[in-house]
Amino acid sequence: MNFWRWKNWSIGTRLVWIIVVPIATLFCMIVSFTYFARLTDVRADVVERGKVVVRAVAESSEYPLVTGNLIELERISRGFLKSDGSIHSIRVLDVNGREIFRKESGAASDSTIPAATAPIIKQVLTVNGLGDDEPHMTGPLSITYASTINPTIIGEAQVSMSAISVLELQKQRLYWQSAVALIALVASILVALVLSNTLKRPLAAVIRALDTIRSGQYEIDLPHDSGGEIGNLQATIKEMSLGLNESKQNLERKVLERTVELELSRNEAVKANYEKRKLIQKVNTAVEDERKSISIEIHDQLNATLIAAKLNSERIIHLAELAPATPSSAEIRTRAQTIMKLTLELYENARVIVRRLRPEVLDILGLRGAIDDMIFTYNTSHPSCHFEFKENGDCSRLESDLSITIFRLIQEGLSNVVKHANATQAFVTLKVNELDMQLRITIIDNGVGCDVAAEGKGIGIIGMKERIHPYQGSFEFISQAGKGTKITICLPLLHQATEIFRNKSTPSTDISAS
Amino acid sequence: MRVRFRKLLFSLLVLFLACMSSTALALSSQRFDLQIITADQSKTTASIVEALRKRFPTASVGTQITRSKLAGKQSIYLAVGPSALRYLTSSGVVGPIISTFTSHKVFHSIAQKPAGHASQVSGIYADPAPTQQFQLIALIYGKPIKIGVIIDSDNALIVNALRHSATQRQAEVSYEVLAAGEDISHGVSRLAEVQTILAIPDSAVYNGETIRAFLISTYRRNQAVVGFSAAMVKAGALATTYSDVDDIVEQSDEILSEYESTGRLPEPQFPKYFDVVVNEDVARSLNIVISDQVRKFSRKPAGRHQ
Repeated sequence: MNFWRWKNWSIGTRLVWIIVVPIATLFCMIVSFTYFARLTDVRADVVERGKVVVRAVAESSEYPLVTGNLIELERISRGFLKSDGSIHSIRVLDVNGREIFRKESGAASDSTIPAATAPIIKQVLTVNGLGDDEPHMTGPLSITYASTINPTIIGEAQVSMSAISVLELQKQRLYWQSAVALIALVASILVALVLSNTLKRPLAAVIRALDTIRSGQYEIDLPHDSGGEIGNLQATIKEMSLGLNESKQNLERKVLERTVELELSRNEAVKANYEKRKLIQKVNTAVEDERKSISIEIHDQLNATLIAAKLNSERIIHLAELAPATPSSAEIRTRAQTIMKLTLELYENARVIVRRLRPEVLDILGLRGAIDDMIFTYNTSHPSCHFEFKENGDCSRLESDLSITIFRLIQEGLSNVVKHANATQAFVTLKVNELDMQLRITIIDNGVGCDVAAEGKGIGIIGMKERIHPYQGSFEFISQAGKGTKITICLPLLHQATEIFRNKSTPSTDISAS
Repeated sequence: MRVRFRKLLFSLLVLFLACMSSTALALSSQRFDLQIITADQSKTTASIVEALRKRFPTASVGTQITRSKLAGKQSIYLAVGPSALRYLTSSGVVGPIISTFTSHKVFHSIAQKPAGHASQVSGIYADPAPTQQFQLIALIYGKPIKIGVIIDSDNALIVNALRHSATQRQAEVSYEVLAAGEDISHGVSRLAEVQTILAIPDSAVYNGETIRAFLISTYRRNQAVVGFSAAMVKAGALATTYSDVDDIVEQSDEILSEYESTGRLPEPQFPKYFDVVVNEDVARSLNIVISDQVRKFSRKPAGRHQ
């Protein structure tokens, strides 16, 4: 089937068709034209010969017709039949149409050719017989036949012609000519095919060279061994390949130079990024340390002072109750109660600040207890939203830094829920998979959601990513407007991850995690 | 030098004869009123009249005779063709009549009519002279041969002229007279022994319907035909002597001159001046070799050459 899709033909096939089709068409047309032209010519020739023969018979039949000397006519007719094999019969009729003479040959009758007829005319010479009227001249005057002026018809000659034998002969000749022409056609095609190879070979070489160029190899082996347009094409392709090769080399050199520059730039960027993160990490650590020291100061100094103030207020109230009931003692008791109340509130506030600065519950209750405490606090402080936490696996053996990081990540996530989500429900899941040595944190809310592309640059998200990066974890933020938000954080449980980060002195080339 | 001198003398002689002829013509034109009578307007007649006008510029041409406008001059009538002769002989003219372009047989058939002017009628026969014809036959064959002549029963007069000429040439001539209505092929059959048939102008014997069969029959018998006109030679005869219009006009002029000098017309005569025409194809078919002597056989008036 592919053969008939001529648009896909190769050059060789096209050349063969270009050669064969015109020659074969020409051959068929010439043979057909010659055959029919010969048929027509033969019939026309036979008809014309019949006219000539019948005229000759008519001219020769005057004397035999007048004298009845049919032997003479027999002799003449035999001569005609012998000289022309296409004569079927010769007939001579008298003036009344009666057949006087008939002679037939062995030729087959041919009804397609009408019988030729000619009148037999009495021939009268106009030689001056020196009669009684016009002047008698013996000088050189021209003579004519009176029969051409006033013919006297004394009979009719009929000649029936047959083109069958001539046509058979012509057919035989045509067959031979066709055979010779066919041999010539085959020879022409063979010669044309041989000659077409002179076109096909260089074109195939050119195509191979172009394929090589297309594959990216510009150094081609294309011989320039032809003249004319093919030679020009070969030379052009050769020059083009040399030019492309030179351009490619120039481009590769430039790319290499540019790559080196980019490599340097990238290394510098990676190094800068590493240093930036290291700095952020140090800042976070310093913040956590400072928070811890502040919380300790508040817990140890301020809270102790507030407790002492409380105790003194209770003593004052007790002393006031013991004193006589006077307005002054009543006022003292009231004032002392107010001071005690304020002290307690201040104490509670200080505890909240301490908890926020340094979740000491991490040290006391562990990560689970700290998260529960945080959930409780959010539920308390934000009653419009219900916060819920589920733990799967054992997170009690996590390192302190990782626990703090997890705590801060959840804290930041819930902070975003409170600030932006306007949600009514929020779920926090912590899953520790010790087989895969992986920890997964999931924070889901049913809030208004947001455009990820627009919100991707928020400080909170960036801060969460920066916290994840030292652990080479992953961060996934999925949100749609009106369909809530889902944050998935995966952290590897490799204890050496932090050490790697901390001890790495050279920048890493793998920045995909960031 | 001698040759040049002879050429000069010949040229002077030709010039002298031309001057004499012109003088005679001038005299004749002054002494006679020549009337050229024709009977038709055919092309042949027109060509003859043109030649006569050229020779006799003062002559009148017409189809009827006219009264002479020249006082004291005698009218001479020149008939062109048999019809004109017949008209003149039957018109009762007094002057002499010169017949031209009329055959021997027709001339005598007209001149013998009882018009009473026989002594006044002369002329030139249109037939080739029998003497010249026999001479031509002798030149062709170069030896004595048997000659046949077919004549009609009404043309007995020609036999005398033929016999006279044959005797002069010592030719052996067989005469075959056809009966009235008899086919010419019979005559040819009876002349099977002769080698040549001399055709005599006679429309009863040789006409358009008979000539072809006659020529074919003689050819098949290997007999040559010496015809009586160039047209007959062209039709298939071997050869003939013939006289063109100028020859006849010249001879007519001579007759007029003789009449002027003698006061009487000469006897009717055959043409004096002639040429020969040969059908080379017929000669080749009959295996007859025609010599240059035959081809050049002719007679022309002095000062006029072929």
